[in-house]
Amino acid sequence: MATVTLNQVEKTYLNGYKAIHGIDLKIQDGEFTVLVGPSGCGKSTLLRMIAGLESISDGEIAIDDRVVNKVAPADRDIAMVFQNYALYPHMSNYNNMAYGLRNRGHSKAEIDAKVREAARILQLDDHLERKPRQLSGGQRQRVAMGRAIVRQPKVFLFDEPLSNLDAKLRVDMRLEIKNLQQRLGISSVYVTHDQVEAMTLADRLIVMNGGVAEQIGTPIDIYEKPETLFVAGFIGSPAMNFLPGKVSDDRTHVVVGDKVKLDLDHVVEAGRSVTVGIRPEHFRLCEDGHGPVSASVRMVESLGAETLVYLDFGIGNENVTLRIQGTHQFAKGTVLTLSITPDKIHLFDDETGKRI
Amino acid sequence: MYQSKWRILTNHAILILGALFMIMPVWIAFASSTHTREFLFQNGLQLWPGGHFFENYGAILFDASATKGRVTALEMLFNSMVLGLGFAIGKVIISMMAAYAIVYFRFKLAVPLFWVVFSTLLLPLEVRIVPSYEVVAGLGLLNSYTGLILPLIASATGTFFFRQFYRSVPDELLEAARLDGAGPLRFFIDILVPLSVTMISAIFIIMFVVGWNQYLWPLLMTTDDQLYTIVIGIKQVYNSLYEGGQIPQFPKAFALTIMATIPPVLVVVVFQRMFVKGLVETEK
Repeated sequence: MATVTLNQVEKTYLNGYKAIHGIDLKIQDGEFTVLVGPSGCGKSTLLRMIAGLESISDGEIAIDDRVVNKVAPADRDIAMVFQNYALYPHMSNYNNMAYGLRNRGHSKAEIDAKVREAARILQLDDHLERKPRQLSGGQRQRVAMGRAIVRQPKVFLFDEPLSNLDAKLRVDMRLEIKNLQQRLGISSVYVTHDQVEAMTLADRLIVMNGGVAEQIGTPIDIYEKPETLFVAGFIGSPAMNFLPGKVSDDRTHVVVGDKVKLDLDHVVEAGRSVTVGIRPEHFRLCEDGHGPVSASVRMVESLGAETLVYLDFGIGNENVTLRIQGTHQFAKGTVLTLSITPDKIHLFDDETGKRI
Repeated sequence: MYQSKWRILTNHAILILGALFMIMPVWIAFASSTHTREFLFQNGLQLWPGGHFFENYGAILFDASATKGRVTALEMLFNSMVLGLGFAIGKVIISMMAAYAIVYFRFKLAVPLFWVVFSTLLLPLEVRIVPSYEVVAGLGLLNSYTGLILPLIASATGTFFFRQFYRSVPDELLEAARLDGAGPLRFFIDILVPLSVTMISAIFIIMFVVGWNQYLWPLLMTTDDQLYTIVIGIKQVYNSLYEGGQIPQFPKAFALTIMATIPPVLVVVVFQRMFVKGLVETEK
């Protein structure tokens, strides 16, 4: 039960490399916050700074109202789950969970009660006497979570906890983590590079790039209104299509290429060069052949529930992806007519990459 | 892999010959140690044991006069054991702690210091024996167990092995332990030491045998018979072979040799599995 406040947090390594460029963030009580971004964007560094495993070069991190910049990791009242589990290989699972409590001087009976309770929640009752290496990856991850739970910390920190698991287990554990977090109501910070995990787990999503928080918001907000070109391209799969465009003189249209003219739902300065972003799932197929966009089919990928069509828009060699429900067959070269509702068109400034 | 019958036969023949080559001297020493000195003097080395096993070994173990000194073989075995154990345990502890400091604590001179320690491999005891003796003599430690063990206890090899091992331990373990509230000492005792058990036993065995077989250093350090190690004892017995007009004490010298080899062999046999495990695998 706690809030975490980051105030202009910066990280500069000894060799002068600046990993985090001033991040402001307030994590509400009980909120599940996900840090997402490509590798090297500083998301793990930021998490480790909250944990106290990396020093803070500038700014402040506070848990509740206590500034923890100089507080040792053990005294910050946080618990962390690592990507490779980081279980003590020579200790039984019971002792793995009990170790932190013992170091904090809890009584034997209390430790036993807490460990057994955590084991019950995580369905590890039968494995307590075993060593971590005798467990499967998913079970090990549960022990690692058990080690975090028994402490009843103010904040949970997860550092890509699912990336060592196989695809199916990852989905199961994802649900389990979400479930557990909601049940315990403990504020959590979760780092991942997987956008499905990010979208599904997050109450609030922070998209990071190059040590900067590009956008902070609910997953749906970020999906619907990406603030920057980077966020637009990073969130959503298949990725958003980007096309070079120019706002028409009457300021109600954007012209893409030579012939495509799309309606806009807001007024933009005339003649401005922009990048037009359209998600593959937001095109609509016009069966009757009347629509603003015509493009020929280059390739079709059928996924069963949906079909991905790669189209030639006549702008360079770039494919434009179209995603439609159900199974469809199109011969190569078929010309499709498409339309887009104006509110699904994203415009980004060519120079700053910011949303217009 | 398929192996023909002939191939198996030749392989075994070579192995058996090699084994015999290694074992025969030991066997001859043992067989010869169970005869009377007169018999041995007349008939040379023996391939088959004689009937004086208990007599010869009993005398050498418990009768100080049999070794021509004022110390029995039993006492010498004890001295050797103290030296071997002190040497091995001391080296393990010191090199573990040194490696821990070098790997886990970021102090400015860690890397140069490690290479200084490592370069002492170029200076074996024999090279620095005079200054070492001088120091120990100056400290008044001649003829004491402390003087025997302490100057040999720093180990570049051990430090190097433990350093390599610690560096292969994932950083997340340290971080998890820090979050679990373990300080440097707790982390060392609760996590690192149990993880290094196989490593510890491997280094312990090697060092025990090296310590047991020390010759030059104990020879210089001990002028008092009471502190003789068994390796020196053998030398003393052989020395006394030609003194006086008596028939040489060959059987007893052989008996002493056999006894000197038993403890290291036992240690290696008993800890063999851990030893191999420690050298080939790191359990994580």
